[in-house]
Amino acid sequence: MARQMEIPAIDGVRRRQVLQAGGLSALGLLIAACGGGNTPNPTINSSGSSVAGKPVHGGTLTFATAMDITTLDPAFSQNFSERFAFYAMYNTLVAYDQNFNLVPELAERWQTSKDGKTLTLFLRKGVKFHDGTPFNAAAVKWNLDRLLDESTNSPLRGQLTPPVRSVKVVDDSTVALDLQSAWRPLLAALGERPGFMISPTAYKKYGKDYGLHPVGTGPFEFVSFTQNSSLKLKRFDGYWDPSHVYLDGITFQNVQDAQVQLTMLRTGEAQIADQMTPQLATTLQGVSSVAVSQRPTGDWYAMQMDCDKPPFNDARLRQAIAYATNRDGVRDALFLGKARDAAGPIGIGWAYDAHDSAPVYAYDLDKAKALVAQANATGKRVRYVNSSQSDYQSIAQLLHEDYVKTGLNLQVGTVPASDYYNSVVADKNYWSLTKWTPRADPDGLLRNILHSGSNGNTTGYHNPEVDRLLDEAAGINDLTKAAPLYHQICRLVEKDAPYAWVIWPDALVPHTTNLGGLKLYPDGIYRLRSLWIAK
Amino acid sequence: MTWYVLKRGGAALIVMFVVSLLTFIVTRVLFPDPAQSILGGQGETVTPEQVAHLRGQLGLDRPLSVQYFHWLGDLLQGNLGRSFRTPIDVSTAIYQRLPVTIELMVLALTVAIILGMLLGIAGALFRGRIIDGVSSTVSVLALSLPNFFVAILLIYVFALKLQVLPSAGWVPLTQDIGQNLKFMLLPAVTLSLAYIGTFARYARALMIGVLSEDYVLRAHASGLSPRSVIVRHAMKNTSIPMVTVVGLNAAGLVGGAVVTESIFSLPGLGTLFTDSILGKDFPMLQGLILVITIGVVVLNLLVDLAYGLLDPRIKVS
Repeated sequence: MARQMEIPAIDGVRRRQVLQAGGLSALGLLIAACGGGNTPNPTINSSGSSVAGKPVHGGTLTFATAMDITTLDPAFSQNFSERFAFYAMYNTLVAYDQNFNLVPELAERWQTSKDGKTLTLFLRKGVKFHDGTPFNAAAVKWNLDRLLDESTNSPLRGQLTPPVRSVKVVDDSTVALDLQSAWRPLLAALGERPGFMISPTAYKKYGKDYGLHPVGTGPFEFVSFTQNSSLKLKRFDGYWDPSHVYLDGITFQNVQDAQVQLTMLRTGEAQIADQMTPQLATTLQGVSSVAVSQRPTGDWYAMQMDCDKPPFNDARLRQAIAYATNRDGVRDALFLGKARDAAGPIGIGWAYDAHDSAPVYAYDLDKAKALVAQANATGKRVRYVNSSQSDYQSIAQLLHEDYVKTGLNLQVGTVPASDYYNSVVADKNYWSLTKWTPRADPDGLLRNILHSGSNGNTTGYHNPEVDRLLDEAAGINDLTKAAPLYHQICRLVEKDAPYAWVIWPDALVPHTTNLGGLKLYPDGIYRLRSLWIAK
Repeated sequence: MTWYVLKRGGAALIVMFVVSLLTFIVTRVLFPDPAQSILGGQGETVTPEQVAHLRGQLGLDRPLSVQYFHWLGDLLQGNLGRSFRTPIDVSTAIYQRLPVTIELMVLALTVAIILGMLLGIAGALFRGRIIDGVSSTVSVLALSLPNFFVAILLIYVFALKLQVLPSAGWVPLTQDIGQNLKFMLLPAVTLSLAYIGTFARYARALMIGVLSEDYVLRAHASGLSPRSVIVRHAMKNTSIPMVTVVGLNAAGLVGGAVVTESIFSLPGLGTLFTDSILGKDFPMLQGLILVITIGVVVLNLLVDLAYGLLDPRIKVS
């Protein structure tokens, strides 16, 4: 369930030492660390989790993963673990650091025109694709045009257009993106799936089979892929930044079962894995060869309620549900404290408001009961629909107890996990649990679920002020000026309560203690490229 | 004989047609439209136009009957279609994975037949004694332990504690036979366990029946060694019904392979099958079900033909 961080908080003693040393609660420390707009690094580094010291060259890393890779073409990528592979094989135009701030990658620097309508990217020179062809402005234009082309039918098209109107080659190492309007989130999108640059030559060669013959500019090149089994990569000798690459190769080994993954870490068959729960982490106490790194995320679970149809078009009932949501209970009983109570939709990154970390409707059953009574809804039948997925099930079961006490007459339905989101989009349910992972730019997620014009707005939420603020904020490039607008949006939405936010879980990454160079990102995607294995 | 095979082949064709039609209807009616989930689950900003475009590309906007006959037409030309999810032809994907599942099933079946027969016959020969009790207990245990539990147990013992076998992974048979068998051993034993139990129960019952027959008594009476009586007379006569039992159960191995492959991360048909269901990959599902149906039909045919070889009195006609 969780995936990203850097304190060895699993070991109780070490954690306590961290707390004593800091004189703060771990929670406060973490929030303080990831809250400030320009804090460069929101992780707590502490020894013991992964090896410190000088990186060692050589060796092949085995990553035990519940691999769901179906294609290695970013344009058609849908699955989470595909991006683990992309960040090893490809480069993005821009990248971001552990606090979602943009940093250079294939674009060494960028410039936005005064009116914000032209974004110019200055590309790194001397970069080559794995097939030996040069990476240049023409390649960037080809890549972006391919995504923008309607006939490609890439799901990523929506992240580029609007606002991108056209892409121009200025010179061999400069491209200019012509935009309809100033649009800050575009740059962040170029650090995600739309920004992975593939070799135009390779695409022309393999055509529709490209997804099984990927060619990028990244530190590792493709060797072989067997779906549901393994993906093998080897170090690319012509990489432009060789000083930060240590491994000879990376093997993605498909292992679905969390227990088997842990066994592989313990026997040294793998060095890092991706299935970990707080409960499983406790079983590792006393195992010296395996550690779990932990870091806060902006992922969230929330109850979503349809604002545009009965019964939850009555704001008092939504507020009642928010009041009756026992966040502490979920945090302590289900996540064993490895999570934070969620106040709203932004839990991490530069737009997170560290001063507004308490829920507007903090747990209060009496207020919940009173609101239900006021709305004349005591005894009213309300249907709650949940996914069959185990994390959804356990959270809902824990919260159910309190929701019943509000006086509502709850009926519970279950939908298979694979059909759950479809049924939410099709608007078949008016009350359900949902989970979201943040994008690097807050606009990405907030616009999708809160803007009244968005297809992803599944609650039918409509607040003209929120729409206006979202549009205004997206045009602001200066993060210190944009952040207050997002704080304002969060407060408005929390008050309107289309969602009752429940929890921001921490990411938990299990790995062997001889693994070095581990950095965890708030998007939960593993960056394997700079890892190293101590001898 | 030729006529018989032809007749069975004709019947098999009808079975395959009905199965493919049923698969087609069930997937199309029960599953929600895959276009939305192919374009992006949660988190992608997909417009209704994009979904419509994709439905057109995949032919999902046409009437069901047209879609079915289109698929059937392609099939007659040897074309199983292309996966909705992975940039690969269905036939290529199945061709790549079939050997893994066949190897797993053959190994599991071999282990199950050998151990199951030994266990069952031992139980029958020492009927009512301690060995019989042990045989029964072991076979009932083997029969009742779920394979996902056995798999984890085997990994714990052989990979974590003894560290003699790998936990998960796979190497192609053609690349390194030794390594391949190392990876295959635990999955094969896991998959065979339930069948060891089943075969042992049948073998014991059949053997007890045969041992009370007059010709066994006659064989003993004519001074043959007990070993010769059991191997040449008794076992031979239990082998025919055993072939039926094995044949019927072999079809069920496909189901067990799904779970086993997924725990041990083997790239066989089982994992492809679960992924295709979850991913609503209709062409892949139809191709897989067709291939599995053919497999079961062929297996049944082989079982029938084997009777003739084992017992000259049975004529297939």
